Amino acid sequence: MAMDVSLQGKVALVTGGGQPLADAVARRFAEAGARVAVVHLPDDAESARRNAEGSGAALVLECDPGDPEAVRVVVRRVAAELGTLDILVNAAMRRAGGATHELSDESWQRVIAVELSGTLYFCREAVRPMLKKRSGRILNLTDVAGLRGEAGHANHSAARGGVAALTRALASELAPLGIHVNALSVAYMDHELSALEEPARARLVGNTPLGRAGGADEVAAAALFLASGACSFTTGHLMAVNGGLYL
Amino acid sequence: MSANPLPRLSPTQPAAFEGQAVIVTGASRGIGRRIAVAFARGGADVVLNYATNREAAEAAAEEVRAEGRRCLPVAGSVADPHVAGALRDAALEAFGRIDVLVNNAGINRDGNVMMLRDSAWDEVLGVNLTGAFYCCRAVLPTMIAQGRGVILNMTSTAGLKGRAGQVNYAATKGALIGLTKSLAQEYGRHGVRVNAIAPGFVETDMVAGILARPEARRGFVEATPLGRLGHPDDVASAALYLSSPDSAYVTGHVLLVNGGLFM
Repeated sequence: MAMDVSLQGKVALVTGGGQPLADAVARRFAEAGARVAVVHLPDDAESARRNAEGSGAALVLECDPGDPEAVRVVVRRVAAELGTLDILVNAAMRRAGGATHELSDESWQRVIAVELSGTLYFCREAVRPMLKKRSGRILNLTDVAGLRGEAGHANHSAARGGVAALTRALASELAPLGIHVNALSVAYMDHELSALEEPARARLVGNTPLGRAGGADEVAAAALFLASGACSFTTGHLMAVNGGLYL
Repeated sequence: MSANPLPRLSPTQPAAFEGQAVIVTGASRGIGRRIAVAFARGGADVVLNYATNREAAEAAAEEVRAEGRRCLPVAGSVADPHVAGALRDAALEAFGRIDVLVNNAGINRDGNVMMLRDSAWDEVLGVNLTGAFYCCRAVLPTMIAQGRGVILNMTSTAGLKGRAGQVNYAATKGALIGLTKSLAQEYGRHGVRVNAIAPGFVETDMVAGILARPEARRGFVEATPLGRLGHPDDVASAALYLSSPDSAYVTGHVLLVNGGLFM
């Protein structure tokens, strides 16, 4: 691309390792020259280690995003081992849907902890090294459910809606300090679509103007743009990568 | 001062637009001019539309050619129904294709609504909205036949939240968002992506009069969380992203390039 999307010399931390989206972001960032630390949920240890071999990640670490002390430790370790922290991508996902009247406390709390509280915990800790340099980029993950809600996913919708608001609040707070905060706003991706049954799958594709689900690589390309010098005057933005599904 | 360096349009990056043809309206100055140059740097040939300022257009065309690409200046206000067809024909005759249309041409005739002349309303609607519609309509058959194409519409923060003294300008910019989203839904299946860019306060000739007043300039900077005015290159690199294969799954989107002015 005829613009500056190099991440040479940058250190990035990507959460959600072992999940397709986070792994695609890690790989794209490493290709762009960044040293990348991949942080994965305890449940995703095996896939995270397997995928990290191909992604060029410099570090692979386990951390439960819902545990603030564990987040503090892991972010400090990344900054210590890789020298600094320039880019944080909060991409950890934990979907556990179900009809709301049957939703367990555990399912509600777990999704909120991983997707919403975890996002805040990582941001809170990652801004410390960024503030020293008065520069940094934070990308959070939201989606169609967070913007318009999704039946059977009250927990996930609430978490992602919260992430959208959190992104804007942090953007306002951190802009004067040189830190840009944006969100990737995604829809169904092809690795999720295959888990759906007909006719839900056909309906979803039919409702998407581009006529297909998105690829994790396409979200990673947007992440690279938002994290790079090419995206120089955008903060507090929800960058849609959804094929036009929600406009 | 800015804490954020302006983007470097790096000549070391591979040319993502090599062999492509791009039409940029209102490209003799300001944002349109930097978009035209950025595309040329990315490898594209450019049809460079301008309304009347031939001298500025020739200078802009030279800047495009200095990137080693072909540039065809075409005069005429996009409000004139014949101009859209002329732009399409120029691109097809010279370059044989149309990969990207950037509806950038825009004017303002600000004023309190009670004092606003019919001509100020009609002129702004004619260029900013109807002109964009004419250009979309003119290039879509080519893009559909190609099975691919990208349209970018230049909207504004004013189109998202309005602005006192700019009812006409804000109305057109809001309307462009509706047009963008409708076209995205109508032509996504044909491989045509349609997106918009909403800049904040960008330092251009359009706002040079206001920005000449130090207190106004200070007010704009203070209203922008990133603490500076936008530069046309901030918008140009967003235009490149939205036109490149890297945004293949992005359509109907309004990309904010406003320093946090409006979220």
